[in-house]
Amino acid sequence: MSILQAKQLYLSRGGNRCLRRVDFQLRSGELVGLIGPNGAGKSSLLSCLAGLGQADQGEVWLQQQRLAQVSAAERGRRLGYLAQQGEVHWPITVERLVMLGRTPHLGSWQQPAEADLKIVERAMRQTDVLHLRQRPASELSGGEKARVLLARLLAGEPQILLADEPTAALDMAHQLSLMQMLQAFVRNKEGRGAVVVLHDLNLASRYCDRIVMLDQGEVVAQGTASEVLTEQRLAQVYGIEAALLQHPRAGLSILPLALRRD
Amino acid sequence: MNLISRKPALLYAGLALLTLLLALASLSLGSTRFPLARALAGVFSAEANLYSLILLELRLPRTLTALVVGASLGLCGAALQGLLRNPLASPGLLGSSSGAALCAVIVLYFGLHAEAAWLLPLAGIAGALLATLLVWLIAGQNSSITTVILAGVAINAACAAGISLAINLAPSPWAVSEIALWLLGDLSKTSFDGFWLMLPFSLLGWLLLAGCGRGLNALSLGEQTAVSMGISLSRLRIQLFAATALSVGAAVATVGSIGFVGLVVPHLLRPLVGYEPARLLPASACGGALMLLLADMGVRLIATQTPLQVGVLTALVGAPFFLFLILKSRREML
Repeated sequence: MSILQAKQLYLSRGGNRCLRRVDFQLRSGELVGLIGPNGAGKSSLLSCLAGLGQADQGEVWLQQQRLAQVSAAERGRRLGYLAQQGEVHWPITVERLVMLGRTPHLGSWQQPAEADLKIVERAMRQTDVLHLRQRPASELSGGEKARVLLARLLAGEPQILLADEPTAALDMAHQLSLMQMLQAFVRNKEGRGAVVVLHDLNLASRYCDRIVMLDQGEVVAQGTASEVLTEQRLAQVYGIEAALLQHPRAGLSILPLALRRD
Repeated sequence: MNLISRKPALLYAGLALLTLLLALASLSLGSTRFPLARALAGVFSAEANLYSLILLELRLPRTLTALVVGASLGLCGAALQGLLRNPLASPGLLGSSSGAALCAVIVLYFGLHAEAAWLLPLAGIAGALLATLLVWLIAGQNSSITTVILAGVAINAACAAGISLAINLAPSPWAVSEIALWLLGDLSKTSFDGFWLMLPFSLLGWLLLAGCGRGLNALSLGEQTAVSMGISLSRLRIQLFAATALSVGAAVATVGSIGFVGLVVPHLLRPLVGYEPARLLPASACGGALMLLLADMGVRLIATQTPLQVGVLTALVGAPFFLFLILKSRREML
């Protein structure tokens, strides 16, 4: 059953086409990777799915409801969105930052209760940042910050995670651990799902249940890694010559060889 | 430090207590030695004496006005710095101070306040609302923070030009000095009439800001993330614009422009509340009241031939202090 769905999305910004005729589905228990070259419309699609921007045409459905008709607070509780640049403007402590994840669950005047503190602590434990709780967020390394921001997301107890290039600034070990955390998130409980924008095709191939490839605002392919990632498509969409390798543990891996000369 | 930032209630209580003590000190402070006990006896008995009159008619409104104006400046400064995520934003940035000043100056220019004293603050408040509305119309709804700041700068410049014009064309040297002195900020001419006129606008502004803490906190993770957590940015902006127009506008309309309180106080208190915008709001309101009270006591204690204007003192002390803070934070970052 699809828990988040986009139907015939069109979006243009300042005369540039961002999305065209995009259909998208996220099913329960799925980790979906959004891939495509720069400017393909991945972030635009993700922010439409998150309800941050309205498409010019088309609709996003959150289960049986139009997303545009879901209240902002309800949307905040059910969809967790991880922005591309992990902005943190004040050097607040890690613990208080993760507590901000409870925002959609608290009223304007409401203080976090004991139960909220427990949830925050659990989220910090899940992403292994509990030992950093008193550190100012401004003093964290890239890997620590990514984990703290993920903890913030988990503390909101969303049903669906939408993450925009969460692995961009991470070293290889942190990339693997972040993808494992996302995988654990969708597997651990019924009815959950996650959409991740990725540039690293190998991570997408290895961890995503399904891959959706965008090019110039359109969905050009979707399916399993071996269905989507073919030599021909990599040549067409990315303009590269690549070798596709099968590894016994990693599965399908992509080795870029050269730019394609036209 | 760590204890305070974890338990903001301690800080709030401490600041409130200090403010209360200073307010009492401010009541008993003046050009002549003041028997507070006798004054109080006069207040609570049927027969008023000279001291109780001074206390009730001069010092009480002055102290209360300093408290409310200081709190408004501190609160709005903190809120605005949170909204713009910029520690250099001052409460006048959205046009409220300069709009209030321009309209008040127009009243002074034509000498209208001689006929009806309440016209001055009322014109000031109207000016603040108008100028803030202009900034809102230019940059309020969906534009970036930079556009908001630029629009504010432009409107402030336009108001400053209007004020210069009024001084330039002033009918008499007397009017020029009246305008110039008013612009410097002055608490010595406050009365209960002015205070009661200002209070509802200030309170309305404070009330609007009290509900902003959650949104400002969420904004520390960036606008997109705040929206994704269910915060309505346009509502937050409307609340903040309206609140500064009302409370800073009313403050400037009543006592003139007083700089640096709204800039320095949030900056100074931010580390003590763990840098959290929501927790900074009440602390900054208290701190602002405290700072303006101190400054007002300062101008009364420092004997000069012409009385020192309180806005001059806050700028004189505030500017180097602010510089010191910047240098200190720069050293810490290196």
